[in-house]
Amino acid sequence: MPPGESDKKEDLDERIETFKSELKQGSIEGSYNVALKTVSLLVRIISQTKWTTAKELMDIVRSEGKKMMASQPSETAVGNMVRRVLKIIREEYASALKGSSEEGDPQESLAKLLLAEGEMDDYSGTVLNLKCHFAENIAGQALEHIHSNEVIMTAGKSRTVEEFLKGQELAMSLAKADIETTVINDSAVFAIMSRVNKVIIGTHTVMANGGLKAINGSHAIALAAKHHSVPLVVCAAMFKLSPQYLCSYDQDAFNKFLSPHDVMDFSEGEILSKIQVHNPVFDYVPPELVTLYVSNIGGNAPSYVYRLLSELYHPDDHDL
Amino acid sequence: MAPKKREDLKQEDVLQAVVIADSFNVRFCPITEKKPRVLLPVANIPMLDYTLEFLSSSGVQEIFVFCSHLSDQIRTHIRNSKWNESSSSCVVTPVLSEGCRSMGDALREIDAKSLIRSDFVLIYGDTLANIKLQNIVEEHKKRREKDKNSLMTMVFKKAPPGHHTRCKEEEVVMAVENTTNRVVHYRKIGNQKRLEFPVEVLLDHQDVDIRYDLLDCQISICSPQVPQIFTDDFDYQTRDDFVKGILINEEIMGNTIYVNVVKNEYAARISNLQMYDAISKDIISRWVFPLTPDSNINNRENSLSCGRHNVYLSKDVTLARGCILEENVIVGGGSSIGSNTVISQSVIGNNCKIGENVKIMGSYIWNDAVIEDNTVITKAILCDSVHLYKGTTVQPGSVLSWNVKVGPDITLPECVKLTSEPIDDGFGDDLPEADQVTETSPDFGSRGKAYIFKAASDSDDEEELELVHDMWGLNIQSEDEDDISSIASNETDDLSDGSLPPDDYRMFYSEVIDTLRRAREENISTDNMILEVNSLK
Repeated sequence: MPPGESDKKEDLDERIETFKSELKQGSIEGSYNVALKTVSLLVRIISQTKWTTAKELMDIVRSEGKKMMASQPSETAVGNMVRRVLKIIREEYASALKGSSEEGDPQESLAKLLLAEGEMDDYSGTVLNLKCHFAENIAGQALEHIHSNEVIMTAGKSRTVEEFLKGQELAMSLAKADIETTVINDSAVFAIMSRVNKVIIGTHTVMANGGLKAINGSHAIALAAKHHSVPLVVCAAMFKLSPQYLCSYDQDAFNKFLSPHDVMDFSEGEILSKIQVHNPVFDYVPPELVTLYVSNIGGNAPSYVYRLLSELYHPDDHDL
Repeated sequence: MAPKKREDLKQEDVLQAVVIADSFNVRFCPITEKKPRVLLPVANIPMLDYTLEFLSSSGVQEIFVFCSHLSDQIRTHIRNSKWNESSSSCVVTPVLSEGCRSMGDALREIDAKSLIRSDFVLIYGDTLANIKLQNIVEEHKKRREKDKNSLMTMVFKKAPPGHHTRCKEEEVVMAVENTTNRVVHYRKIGNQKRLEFPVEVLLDHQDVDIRYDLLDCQISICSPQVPQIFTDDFDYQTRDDFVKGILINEEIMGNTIYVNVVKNEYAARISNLQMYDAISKDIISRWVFPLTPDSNINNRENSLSCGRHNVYLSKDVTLARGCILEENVIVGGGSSIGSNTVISQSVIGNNCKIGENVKIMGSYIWNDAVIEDNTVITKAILCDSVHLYKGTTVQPGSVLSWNVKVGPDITLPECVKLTSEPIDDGFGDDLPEADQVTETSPDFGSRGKAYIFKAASDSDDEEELELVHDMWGLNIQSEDEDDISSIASNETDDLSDGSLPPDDYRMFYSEVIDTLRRAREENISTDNMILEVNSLK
């Protein structure tokens, strides 16, 4: 291998390694950034590794993607992005094949694949673009969902929801500070719910059945909302859509457990040796509690998620 | 070994760390006869890997691993680890020194080789932590800009008396200036029940906290002068000597030491078997997140997945019908567990075979062990390739070293340490077992292969006392708080006190008390008091 190439490879390896360790330590904030980093890394992999056929390329992407996913199984955005890229490669390949069918040669010729490569890069660019704009897209729909004088409850900290509400803010031509905000703790959710017109939450992942994997406490909010018949709107960009189901045998892999110090202080002393403290990150919210998904391509009911899935990912890629 | 391009990095920007991969004591004997302590597995991963992972995740780019005992193994381990790959984020260099007997020697060696360029992290190779070191290093550097003489920042974690991760051997009392976090007095407690506290500590400084609720994490951020000071004062053996020395000479040299008490993060050092037990439990209950068993820190193929009640299972574990994994259990790859076996609070290594109706509570079983049916293991450590035949009972506090075979139908006494080879310590006073034919030592069953291990006989009283302490299975009752009363006295601690015969000591003590009492009544000035007390000696 020429020295330049080996340097490149080393550089790529290093990038992948750092990304993996960042994932492991959880130092990347927000699944949006994770997705963005995954895509840019995949683009780099595609442009820098050697491949001649589409199959080879897909194998490379798949194996690298697998490694990345293994380093943090609960971060679904990585897998989603890998699947999305695979789907794009498939589409590109199919269209390249169609375009040159007059040659009558179904084998992957070099020229065609070079073509495919060029377009691939373009396409990745559009993927990136898509994602940069998702927040605005979602925020744009705010007008349809929020009306004046509504009381809205939200939980945790979500960038998407923030944009959404800000969009509302713009629509009402209000200054940022003029949205009245009350912070309540989770035990007060039920009491407050009767006064709330709408619950808007973000999520970590949208499961294949339309359920949610959202921050801890979401389930309680969703149940309270159901009880009071308050609509629950979930803001989620398309990259959060995952082909995973929650199945009973790997419920544990579904969640992520953090250090228990948020729940109980380490200096608590003797009691710690007698008890177990669990600090899960996520809650599963079943699809029947969700009224509407607002994504960057419009609002959808949870029962429609399967349709989106088949649009976004290729069925062969569901299991990487 | 180090990729060349890293050398272009600006030398000052690189954060360095010195890892002392040797304990310089025998707490883990006889296990450490064959393998250095830092390579012993905690939750199935060598301790050193945790330390290196912690350092690299906190932005350290250059690590010197200082090894002396069985250094070849450590060097091979580092060479085969992911740190040696070109994609690793930091450079790990082993530094070998066979003759090194203490941490002081190690630092002197480092000074002689002039490896250190700027502030560095000093840490033992058996430390587990998830602290964000960057902030502490930043704080240290800021302090150094203001005051060139601030030598060291020690990292402590709050753990009040009675806490399970508190190390009985390492208990310290310190006086810390509340506003600046400067250490004004530092003292190990050891076995003392009464503490003397120099009154100057309270007189000379404002706002002093006297703290007994801290766990020494054995992590310190050192200024580049520290190795030089170790070279200059060659009687400093440990960091405690150093801290004591610096504090005594504080007025002359003007050097200062600071502490940083971490709040949310975790850090502790596996300094003895009790700590091994406590820290393993902390790992399992995820205090050290993200260094948890399921995070796969050394990129192995068979990663663990975390289940309910903190049960971590590898993918290729064979569990027979009816076996119960209660809580806080790790089972490594390739292991199989028989039916009706109950395991709780334990770690099982890779490729272990555990039979039927076995009971394992609070034990640590390393790789390739074979445990036959109807065995009971409580609070013990079983090293690699230990074989327990049918019906063996291992009682609390036992350590079964490499390749030991015991059974069948034997009940081991409590707190026994077994090795598979007789210890020939050259003193001629070998244990009776050693004289018998290897395979048939009756104490350990007809197929047993084990010898009782006792600490080398040249250890003095003090060390034996410590050995009693490290019998980890025994729950050493902590002394009542009330017993530890501190006496403020005008004299600074006199190191020769201990060597005085007891009678003289008592006499001296009562005289001093009288003098003090009188002084209080008659209002004698402090200076005169010191003179008087000194004359009593």
